[in-house]
Amino acid sequence: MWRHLSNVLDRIYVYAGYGAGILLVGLCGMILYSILGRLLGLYLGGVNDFAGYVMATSTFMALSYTFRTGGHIRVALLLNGLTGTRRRVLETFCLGIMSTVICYLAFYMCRLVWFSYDFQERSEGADATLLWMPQTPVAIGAVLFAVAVVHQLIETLVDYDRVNPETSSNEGVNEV
Amino acid sequence: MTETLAILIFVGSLFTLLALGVWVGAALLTTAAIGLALFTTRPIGDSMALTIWGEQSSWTLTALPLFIWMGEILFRTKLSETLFRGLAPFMRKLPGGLLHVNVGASAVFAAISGSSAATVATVGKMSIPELRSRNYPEHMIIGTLSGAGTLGLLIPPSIAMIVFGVTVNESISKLFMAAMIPGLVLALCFMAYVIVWSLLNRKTFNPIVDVDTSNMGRRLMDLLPVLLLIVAVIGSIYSGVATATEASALGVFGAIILSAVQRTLTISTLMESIMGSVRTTAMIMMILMGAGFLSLAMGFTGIPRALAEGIEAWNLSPVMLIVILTLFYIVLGCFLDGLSSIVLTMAVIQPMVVAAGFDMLWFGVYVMIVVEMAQITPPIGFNLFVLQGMTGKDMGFIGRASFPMFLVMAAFIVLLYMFPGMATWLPEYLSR
Repeated sequence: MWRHLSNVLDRIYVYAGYGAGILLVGLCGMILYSILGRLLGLYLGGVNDFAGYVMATSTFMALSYTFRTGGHIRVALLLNGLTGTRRRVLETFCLGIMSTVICYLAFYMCRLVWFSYDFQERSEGADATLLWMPQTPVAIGAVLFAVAVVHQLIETLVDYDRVNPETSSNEGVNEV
Repeated sequence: MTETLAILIFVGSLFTLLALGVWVGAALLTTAAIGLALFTTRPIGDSMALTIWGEQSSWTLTALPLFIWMGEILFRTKLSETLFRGLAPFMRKLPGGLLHVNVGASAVFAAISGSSAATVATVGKMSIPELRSRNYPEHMIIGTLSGAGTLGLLIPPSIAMIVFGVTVNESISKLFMAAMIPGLVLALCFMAYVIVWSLLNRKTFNPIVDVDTSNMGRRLMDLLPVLLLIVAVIGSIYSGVATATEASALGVFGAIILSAVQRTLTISTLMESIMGSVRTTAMIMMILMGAGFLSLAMGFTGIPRALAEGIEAWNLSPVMLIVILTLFYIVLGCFLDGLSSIVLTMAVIQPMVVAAGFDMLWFGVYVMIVVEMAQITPPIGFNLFVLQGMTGKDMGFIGRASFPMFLVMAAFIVLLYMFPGMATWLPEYLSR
């Protein structure tokens, strides 16, 4: 039962990751379009702001996928020195802090959307978009990220074999 | 007094969380929240959400994912082969022979990619087996690669430079202008080291000299698309035709065309490049979110100003400040990756450096070099990890092989300090 749920969630993170990829392509397309527009002398007000919204959505969609594939950076010096139960305890502690912070963040991202909606806030840029519209997908991404972190925490507590970092084959961090 | 306490709490909780292995972004967010809760009456969650939204949806930052994507596409092309075959015939006559290809190819690849790890991996893919088969000493192959690979951070476009620019609110285009000359000079310094080394070890250094020089015209033609891409990206920024973001979108477009021309563009490589950049972007954005909120929190507590005034009161000479900062970044770099050490420290360091009268463009170049040095110091140094995977040597050997390059960079910092014009002249000239 748990494993089934876990698989379903993992598939959702991957789809969110694909969504982030599509938005990245869209972001690139938008900017190329704005360059073209400028060369042809068309007025494309607000493209800059839209590009920002697209990027924010793409980033937040990718956070959970990146987290579950081990892509977020951390100092693993101490963790790698530990094995077995000790490592599990420390992992649980780190995930506990991570879960608290990210749930807190997700909650306030949702509240931000609510306030923007309540006050009908508009962007200050040329686009004058109602801000809750681009903020909603960002908040959804933040909530999904919180789900992924709590998911990992629960798995470390009840089903450690699946997330054991000593045996897992995650891609790890893409450094620059 | 409260400021001393605040500093202790910030530094203490941040480093404890980091050392325990809490993800860097979360550690920064937690520290900032603790600081705000203890020293101010601000609404914590709301300012966090607002700061993150504002930063993550900003136009300046849109250059970051696109430059990452551009690098991911180029990494999957046959560029390593093209660069090696194109540059080797020109470098073979220099003392040190093909070791110079490591430096030259790194510099060229750095001009189209913003990542140091990708530079090492791309150049090494071809040059490690080629140089090994010609009896070049292993420690020189590894040393030159890990050292020159760090040019990826310095020569524009550079992901780390964008992160720095966003963190300190400095124009990314100007930073890209400032970094060009220092990047090229540093590459020359690496080459000078190779020449000196090979002259000193003339007796024992006997590589096989058999560089294929047939079809030169064809090989130069193969290099042409790379040069065009450099001109399109860097040239469009320097001439003021395009902003950094526009240049990055042009770069992605150019990279896709280049890989199509080389027939390395397939649906699967394109998908891999997209998913790879999505992951890298999310990783960097997560640290940036934490850093943005932390600098807001620190600003409220007044720590940066207090520290800047404190440093001024000590009457440190600028030389001493740079020496201290260099040592500080090298130690920090032993444990932290480059991007994290930049974003973690800038909120405090920036006011200090401005108060001491340094130019922020110059300082950006300086930070890139110390962060590069951190990339090749064990136990945590990403170029070392990449090379470990590629050569199968142990960390100690790779660290020792890279050490001379570390010293070359340290010497370069002295040069940069003596001739600050290296960094400041080009931006001034181009924006006139």
